[in-house]
Amino acid sequence: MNKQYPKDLLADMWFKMNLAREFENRVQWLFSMGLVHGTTHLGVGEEATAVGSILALKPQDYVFGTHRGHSQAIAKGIDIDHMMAEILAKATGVCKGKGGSMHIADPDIHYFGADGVLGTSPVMCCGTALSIKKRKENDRISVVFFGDGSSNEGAVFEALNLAAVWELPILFICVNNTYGMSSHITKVMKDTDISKRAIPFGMPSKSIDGNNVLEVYDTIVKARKHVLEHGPMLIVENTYRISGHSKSDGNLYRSKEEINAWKEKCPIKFIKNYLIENGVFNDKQLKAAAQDANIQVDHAQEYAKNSPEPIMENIYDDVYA
Amino acid sequence: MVEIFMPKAGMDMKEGTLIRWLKEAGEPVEKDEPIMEIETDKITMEAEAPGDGILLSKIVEEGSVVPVLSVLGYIGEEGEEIPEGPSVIMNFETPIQPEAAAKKEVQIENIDKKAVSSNFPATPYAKMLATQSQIDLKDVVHISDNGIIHAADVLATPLAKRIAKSNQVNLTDTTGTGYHGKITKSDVLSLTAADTDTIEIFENPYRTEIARKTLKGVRKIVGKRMYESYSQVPTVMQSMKVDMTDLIEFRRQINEGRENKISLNDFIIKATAIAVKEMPHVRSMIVGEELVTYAEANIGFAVAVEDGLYVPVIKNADLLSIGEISRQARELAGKARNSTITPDEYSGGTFSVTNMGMYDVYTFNPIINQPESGILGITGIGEVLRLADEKVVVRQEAILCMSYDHRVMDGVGSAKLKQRVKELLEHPIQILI
Amino acid sequence: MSEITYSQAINDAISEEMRRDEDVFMMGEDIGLYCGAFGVSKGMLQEFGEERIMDTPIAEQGFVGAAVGAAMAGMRPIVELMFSDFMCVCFDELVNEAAKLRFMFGGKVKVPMVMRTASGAGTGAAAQHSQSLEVCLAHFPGLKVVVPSTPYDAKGLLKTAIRDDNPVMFLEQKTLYRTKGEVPQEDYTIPFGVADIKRSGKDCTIITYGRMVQMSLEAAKRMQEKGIDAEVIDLRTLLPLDTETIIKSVIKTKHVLIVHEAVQFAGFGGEICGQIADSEAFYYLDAPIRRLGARNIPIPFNPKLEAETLPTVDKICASVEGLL
Repeated sequence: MNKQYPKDLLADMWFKMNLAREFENRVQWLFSMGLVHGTTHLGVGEEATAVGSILALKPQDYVFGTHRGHSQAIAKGIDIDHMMAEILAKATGVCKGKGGSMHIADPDIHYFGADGVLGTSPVMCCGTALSIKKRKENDRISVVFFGDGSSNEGAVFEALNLAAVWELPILFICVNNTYGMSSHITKVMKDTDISKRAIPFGMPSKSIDGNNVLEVYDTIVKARKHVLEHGPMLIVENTYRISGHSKSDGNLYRSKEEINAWKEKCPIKFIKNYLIENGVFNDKQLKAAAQDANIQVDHAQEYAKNSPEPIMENIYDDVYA
Repeated sequence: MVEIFMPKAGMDMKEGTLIRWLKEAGEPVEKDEPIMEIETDKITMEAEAPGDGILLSKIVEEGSVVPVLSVLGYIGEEGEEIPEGPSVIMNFETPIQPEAAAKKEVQIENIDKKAVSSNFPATPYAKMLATQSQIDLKDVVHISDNGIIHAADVLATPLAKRIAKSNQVNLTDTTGTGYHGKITKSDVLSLTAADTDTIEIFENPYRTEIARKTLKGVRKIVGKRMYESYSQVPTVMQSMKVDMTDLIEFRRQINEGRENKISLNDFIIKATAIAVKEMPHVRSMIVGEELVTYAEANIGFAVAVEDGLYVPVIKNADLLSIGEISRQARELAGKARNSTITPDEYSGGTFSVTNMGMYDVYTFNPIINQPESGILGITGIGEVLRLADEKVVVRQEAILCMSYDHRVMDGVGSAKLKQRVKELLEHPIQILI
Repeated sequence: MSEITYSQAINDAISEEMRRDEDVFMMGEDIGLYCGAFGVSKGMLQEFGEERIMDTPIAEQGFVGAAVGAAMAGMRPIVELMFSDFMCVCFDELVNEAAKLRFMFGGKVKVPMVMRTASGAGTGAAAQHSQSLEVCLAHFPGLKVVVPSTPYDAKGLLKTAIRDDNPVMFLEQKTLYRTKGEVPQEDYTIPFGVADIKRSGKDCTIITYGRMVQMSLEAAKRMQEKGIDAEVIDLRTLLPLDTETIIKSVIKTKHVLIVHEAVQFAGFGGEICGQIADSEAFYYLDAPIRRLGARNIPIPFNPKLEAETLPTVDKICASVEGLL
C-alpha cells in the first residue's frame, strides 16, 4: 500500500483494535472465572471490521451494532469502564445492569445498541435514517452492522427494500464472519456472495477483506460519501470469527486447522506488519500502546468489580418514560 | 506462579471432567497453549494454559470430575515451591451468586373465631354478614336453589331481621365511610350496634332494658369530638391553687345595687382573656403539619345543656369590659340551653375555660376543646386554713386545673398561663384595667 | 360540541396533533390516496403531503421497525396496521423492541410511537382478519394498551397516545367506525388508566371495553325493565388498568360480569378476575365472578355462525340474571 494515512489515525486504529482484542480476552477470562452471568458473544478476529468502519464515519452518525459488537461499541467511543460494568451486571453499567452483554448501547453517543433479536436492527436503522431525511440533516448517515447469519432474516430484505424505495441515507454493513452460530455460510445460502443481495433493490454494493483495516477504512469513507450523495449502499466485510459463538461453544463444527489458518490472517497482525514495514511506528512503540490498552482494560475490570449491584428499589425504573 | 483451574465453559456449568493432560510435568508451556482436554456437560474441548512457564505439578488425575474453579495444577519457574492450600481458587472474587430469595414470612391471618362453619358453602359476602351479626351459618334457614348461602339468606334469619329492624338498618343498602365510599368493618359494626360495644344478642336476665335511643345530634357530635380529643392529643394536666378570697369580696362590692349580677365566671373569662392575649404560645394550634398562632383572645366557656355540651365563644374578650362579658355570657348560655345558639356563636375560639364551681368538684381533667392548645378548668371554692404573717387565717381557695396539648406547649408554658390568671384573680382590681 | 363518527374523531385527533407537532407523521399501507382500508385518513394526504402521510410497501416488520427507529431518533411516528391480526407479523418489533428498548438501555432512549389498528369481528372477514388480540399486547410491560368505544373516548385517548413518550397500542374497533357521538370542539385529552362508568347501577357490575360497551348498555336497558339495575364500566385502557374503579364497583354491587369480544379462554377477562379475587372486593362477592367472551374457536365465515361465536345482548342479559 502506497497510500498515506495520517499518523494519528493509524495510531488510533492500532490502539482501538488492541483495546477491543484485550477487552474480549478479558471478558473471556472473567467468564471462565464464573463472574459473568448469562452468556456473552465475543468477536476476537473481527476487530478490523468494527474499528476500520467506525473510524471512517463521523461522530454524529447513528450506528446499530450486533450482539457480538463489543468492538463496535469500543470503536464508537463507549466508556469501557461502564461497558465492563454492564457485562458484570452492575448498577454503574452503561444500561444500569439491566441490559447485559447482548444489549450494550449508549444512545448519548449515537450508538443505538446491540439487539438480541437478529434482523431487527436493519429495519430500525431505516427508521433513524428516515428521521435524518425528514429533518434534512445533510451530514449524517445511519449505519447498521449485521452478520451473515442474520442476513437471511426476512426483515433484512424488508429493510433493503424500504431503504431503496424511500432513498434513505443508510449504510448496511454485513460482517460476514463465515459462521452463523454453528452453520457455515455454505449451508444456509445458495450463493454465498452476500453483496449480490443489493441487486434486486437497485442498490450498489461491494465485498472487501474485513481483516484489512485499511481497506475497510477506505471503503467506508467512500461509502459514506456515496450514501450522502446518492442513497443506500451495502458493504460486505469478509472476516472470520476466532471466538466460539458464545461461551458454551465447543467448536464442534469446525476444525482446528481452519481456525489456525485464520489466526495467521489476524487483523492485528496485519496492521502491525504494515506499520512496522512502512516505518510508521517501531515495535517498542506498538508494544507500549498495546500495553496502554491493557492497562485501560485492567482499570475497567477493577471499576466493574468494585461497582455496586443495582438496588431492588430501582427495579421498575425505565419501564416507562 | 499461576494456577491452572477448571474453567467455567458454559452458562450453567458447575463441574467438569479432566479427560487428559496434553503436557508432562516439567515441560515448558506458553500462555494460551492447550494443556489439557476437559469435558463439560455438553462437549469435550481443549483448555489453554493461563500463563507462561514450566508445568510444575499436576494435582488432579486424569478422569477426575471436579467443580468449576478447582485448582488442577501449577505453572511457574523451575524449582518454585508448590503452595499447599485450598484446592479451589480463593484469591479471586467469589462468583456472583444470585440473591438468595428473601424468606417470605408466612403470615397466618388471625382466624376470626366468630367465623362459623356450616354444612352449606356460603359466598364471601354472606360469611361477612354472618360474622358481623354473630349469626351462625347453621341457623340459616332459607337457602338459594343452588345450595349456596347468599347474603339474602343470612339476612332472612330471624335474628338478623330483628337486629336490622331494631336499628332501622338495611344492611344491603349501605355505602360506607371508608375510602371512596368503601364499606368498612366499623361501618357494618356501627350499623348493627347501638354503641361501640358489640351488641349483646342474648338478653341478660339481670338487666331489664327500659330505654334505647340512637346516638345522634349534639350528643353524637360531642361524643365524637371528645373521643378524638382524648385519643389523638397528648394531653397533660397541671394544677395550681388560687386564692379567691379577695375576688369574692371584690365581686360582692361590684354587684351591690346591680340588677344583672357579674358572676365569678365572668371574672375568670376576663382574667383568662388578658393572660391569653399576653401569651402567644397559648393562642396556638396544630393545623396539619404546622403550628399556627392566632391574634385574638377569643375565650370559649363550657355550658352544659340537656343533650350535651356547648362552648360559646366571647370574641376579643380582653378588649371587653367585665359588664359586657357578663352580658354576652348570659345571652350565649341562654341560647345554648334552648338550642338557639348558632355555629358562629360557638366557633372561632382560641382558648377555653370550664367552671365546675357549682358542683363542689375537688379536681378534674377537662378535655381540650379541639383544636385549641389547652383548656383552663376551675374547681369549686372551699374554705381552707392558711398561714399568713405567722398567723392562721381562713381563705377561700379553688384549684385551676389546666389540660394542655403537649405538642403545643410544655409544663412551663402551662404554668405561666395559670400564674398570670392566678395573679389577676388574686388582685382583681387589675382585671378592670 | 358536534356529532361526528368514531372514524372522524380519530382523523381529527391525528390531524390536530400533526398540526401541533411537526415530529408527528403516519405510515401504513394504502393510507394516502386510498384513505386507509377503513377510510380513516380521508383528506390527510392532501393536507400533510406524502412526507407525513407515507404509503408503505407490504412489509409490517419493515415499517413498524422503522417506526421504532424513528421514535428512538426523536420523532413521533404513528403506524397503521390494516388489520389487528397483522400484529403477529411484526410482533418482534412491538414486544421485543418497542416495549423493551428503554428498559434494556437503562433509560437512555424512549420510543414515543403509536400503533393503530382495526380490531374485531362482525364483518365476515373470517378468522385471520377478525381477531381481538389486546390480551397479547397487555402482557408486555413497557407497552400501553388502549381500546376506545366511543368517538369522544377515541379522540381524547388518541391524543394522549400521540403525546405519550411510550409505545401505545391503539386498538380501534372495526364495527364502530361509522357510529356517531358527541365530541367537543376544543382540545381535550383523556388520561390513561381511568375507566369510565358509562352507566351507574347497584345490582351488578358489568366490566367491559371496546365494542361490547354498546352491547352491555343495550343489555342494561333491557334488564332495567325487569328491575335489574346494572352498572357498566368501560375500561378504556387495559394497560394501565384502573383497578380502583373496578374494586369499588364490585364492593358496591357484589356481583360482576366481565364481557369482551375476544376469545373467553385465556382472554383479558382472566386478568380482571384475578384482580378482583385478590382484592378487598373478594369479601363482598355474593356470586362467582363470571366472564363472557367469544367461543373458543377461530372466527367462522358464515354470518350466523360468526354472530353466535361472539357475545350478544341476550347472552349478557342471561349471564347477569344467572348471577342474581
